[in-house]
Amino acid sequence: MRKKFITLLLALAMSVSLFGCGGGQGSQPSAAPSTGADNPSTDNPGGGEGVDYSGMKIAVLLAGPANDNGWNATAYNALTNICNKYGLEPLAYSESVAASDMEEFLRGYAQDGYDMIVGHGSQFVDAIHAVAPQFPDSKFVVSFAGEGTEQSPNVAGVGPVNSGFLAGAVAASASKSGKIVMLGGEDTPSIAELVDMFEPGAKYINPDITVETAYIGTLTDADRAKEVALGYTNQGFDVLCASANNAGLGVLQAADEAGVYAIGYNADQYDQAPDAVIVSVVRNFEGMFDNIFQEIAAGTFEPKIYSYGLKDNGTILSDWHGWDEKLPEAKSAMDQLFADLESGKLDK
Amino acid sequence: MDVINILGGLLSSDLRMATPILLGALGLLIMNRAGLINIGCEGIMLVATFVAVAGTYYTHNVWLGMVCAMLVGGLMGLLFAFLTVSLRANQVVVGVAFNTMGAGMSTVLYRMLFGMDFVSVKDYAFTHVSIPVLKDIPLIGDALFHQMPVVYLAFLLVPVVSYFLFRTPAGLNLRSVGENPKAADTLGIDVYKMRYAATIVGCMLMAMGGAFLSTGLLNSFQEDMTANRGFIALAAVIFGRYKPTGVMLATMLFAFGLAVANLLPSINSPIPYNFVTMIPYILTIVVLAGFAGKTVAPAAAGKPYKKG
Repeated sequence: MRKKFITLLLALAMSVSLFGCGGGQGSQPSAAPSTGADNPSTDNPGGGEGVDYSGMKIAVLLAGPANDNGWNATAYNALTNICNKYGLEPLAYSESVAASDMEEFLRGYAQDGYDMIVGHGSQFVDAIHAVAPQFPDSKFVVSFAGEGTEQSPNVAGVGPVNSGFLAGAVAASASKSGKIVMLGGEDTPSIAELVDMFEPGAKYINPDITVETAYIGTLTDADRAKEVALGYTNQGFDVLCASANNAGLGVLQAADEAGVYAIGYNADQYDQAPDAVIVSVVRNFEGMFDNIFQEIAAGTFEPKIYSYGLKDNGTILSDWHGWDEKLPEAKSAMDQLFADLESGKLDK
Repeated sequence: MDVINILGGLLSSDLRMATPILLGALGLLIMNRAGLINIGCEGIMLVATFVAVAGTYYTHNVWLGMVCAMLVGGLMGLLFAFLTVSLRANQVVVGVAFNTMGAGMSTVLYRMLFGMDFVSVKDYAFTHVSIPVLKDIPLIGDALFHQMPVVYLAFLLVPVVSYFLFRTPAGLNLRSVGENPKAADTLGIDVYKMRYAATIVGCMLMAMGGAFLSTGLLNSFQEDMTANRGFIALAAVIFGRYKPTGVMLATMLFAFGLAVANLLPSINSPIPYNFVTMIPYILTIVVLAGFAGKTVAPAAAGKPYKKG
């Protein structure tokens, strides 16, 4: 009797936690704990332009939690909005997908007939190329505009390039001490791309500025990230920027505690530290995913790299939340930068 | 920046980062001494990080948030004790279940309450408390005597737990239950009651550590934010040779490694970050392999006891 009871209890515990980890999985997207606040409106299934979107389904694989207020949240929110916009069924998503499980999740979604399956991050490249040839009817999208994402006829890479340039520029324009730092979570291709572009961006605004870039070595441990960032503020660095999923929060908090500025990344991170985050550099995935989705629907999808530079609005600045009045020179430097992009003087 | 400042900063960072691990390790130590191995520390701490944030958010008082977390920790302890003491389930298996359950429960409950939104409890979070006079001692003053109250509390708990375990009759009873429950039983000590009490108190301490991590250090809840601190606490108990002071030194050593690793990028060290990340672990292994003597675990640790 007792043993049976234990088994039952443990089974219950396990299933509760599995439910939590898995989020909304392939076969039952409706079982997701929260698929966005609003249900898609069903009164406008057509979308627009005469293309029939009804019956199309989108799924996304995330490497971290969907509410990390950064990289993963951007994709989740962007695709949720797209599903709502076209009146599709709620977005199916899997969070914190481990490398060993990627192919299985991809196969699951493809078998269930998802039309657009997004792997959000360069870490999904290999798994997608392994699975894609078996499911020619599904289109796979990797959120990474680097090399090696166009070998299969139903795989495309999509992503902004040079977003680090914009982050460096805005950080440099807000710095008074002339020392700014960019912290990456791990040295992965998608993070390295923007970390490497940070310094050129900063030097574009102020050629004499001191720029440091470093990797924290974690995407989850916000406490460690905070301590690393405090090491920089102690030495007079007065603008911090980080792209490190969950751990990035620690950097914003360090800026808040040290009374210096921070640049939000990926999503508008103003809420996380209103006294420190002057503006956020937002990678405009909603616009990019929307373009690809429309191409898939219209049958014009191409297996190529859809890369969006600053001049294509691949990366934009969030609302300044009033900081533009406190830092008018930073705001005007940014206005100038966007004007340079417009006129073609700056080609990024 | 001068050397004194760097050292002071390291020490301050050390104590801050050691606190959650130390609290978890003290809780584990009490359980261990009563003959119970709880691998589920990580899960309990994780649930506590969430409950502390939610509690603080709704009550607007960070101490009440911590009390909520400790109450939930106590309840989880009660469940652990029920499964492992009364039903004599395998402690390791139950511990693993607690870890999985902790990760799932904290995530699901957080999203049920707050959805995908970010919730900050900064307005009510713990603040630094300075101790006058002592704070002005050079080098160590600022690090030791300008911290959050929970940090003082955690380190004050070390002598308290030590005194309890080794100087009081109740502590002697608890240790005897962990060494030889049969003998303790024949001497009239209620083994089950003792183990229940040790588990509940121990889990409350772990929950306190988790609560400090979320409401003290980061002012918010993030999924999986404990980042293996529960397992480090587990190791610290063994490295600390099952003694409160040893446990304290082990956690401080590990946190010192963390503090050094965190400082290195900002002072332009040429070491690749992959190696920097290893520092705390390597430091701990080297020091313990070199200096720690033979470790003797409580004889009955991990073994269920059947009355009569």
